[in-house]
Amino acid sequence: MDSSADAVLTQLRKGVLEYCVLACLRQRPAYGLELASQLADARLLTSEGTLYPLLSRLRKQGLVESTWQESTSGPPRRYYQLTGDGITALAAFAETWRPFSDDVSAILEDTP
Amino acid sequence: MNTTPNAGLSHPLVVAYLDDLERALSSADQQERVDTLASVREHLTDALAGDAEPTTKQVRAVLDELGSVEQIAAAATPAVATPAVANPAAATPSSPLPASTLPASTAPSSTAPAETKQERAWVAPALLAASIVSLVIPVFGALMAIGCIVTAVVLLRTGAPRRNFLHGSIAVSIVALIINAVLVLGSLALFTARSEVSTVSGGPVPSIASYAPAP
Repeated sequence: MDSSADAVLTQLRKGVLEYCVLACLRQRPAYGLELASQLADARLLTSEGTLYPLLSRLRKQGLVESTWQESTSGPPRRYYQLTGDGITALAAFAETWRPFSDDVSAILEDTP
Repeated sequence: MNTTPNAGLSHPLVVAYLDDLERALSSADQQERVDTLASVREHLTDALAGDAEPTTKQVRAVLDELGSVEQIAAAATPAVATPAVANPAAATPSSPLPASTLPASTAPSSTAPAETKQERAWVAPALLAASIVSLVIPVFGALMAIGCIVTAVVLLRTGAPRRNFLHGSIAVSIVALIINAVLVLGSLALFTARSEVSTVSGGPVPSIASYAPAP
């Protein structure tokens, strides 16, 4: 992938990563490394560490909350889960994303 | 909450990485800096938990996946320099998340640090006023003065604005404490002296009438 494509992808990731994190938490709570690995496997996160400032902001915005839970394999882990506001924000994004994505696809296909 | 010490965290590469990360985040929003440092430590603890003594190769692999400290710092919101900004996201265009994506309902919490500092601006003058009032109230004034001193010291340590007022409040409160101490000690001394006079004379002090010349 050339550098201009990388730059585009970086900008697109920045715009949607917040909601991808919320989407990862839709089914069940998850801890930091688990979330980072899931997003990295989906190629949405190139540097796992950049997830943590984002999680801090999401918590400050009240979209996620964290609780400590005992772990069988080590020290307690901080688990993140969606709040009511987080569920609402994710639903609003999902509702907006599909038509937006269709519009972008349509205009790209129309462009010669 | 701290995690249990982990052999991986004491690896020289990890120690250096965490030190570099702390420095790289020095100009980031304070809460994000604290959260990010704690979360990265937890991430490393988890990622290196399987090995009692991870090799340098394993540590490097985990650190490579985390990314450079500069990349992490770039993802953090810069600290807000000016107080009482209506929307800090709008004031930080380098923020990776567009301001428009922030739900309106979350705006108050995102402005909390600046607003808190601004809201506390009235506390220092109020504290000074309370200290002055404590000067003229006997006994209870001492309690007020102690309260003012404790509050002022706490506010000074948390970087509250109008520090001159806080220093003034401490000074006036100390004066109030001294005045109250003098009053209490003076009263005790007077009471003790009166008790001693009563004990020596063996009875009530004779009235002036008993010294009146015989007709």
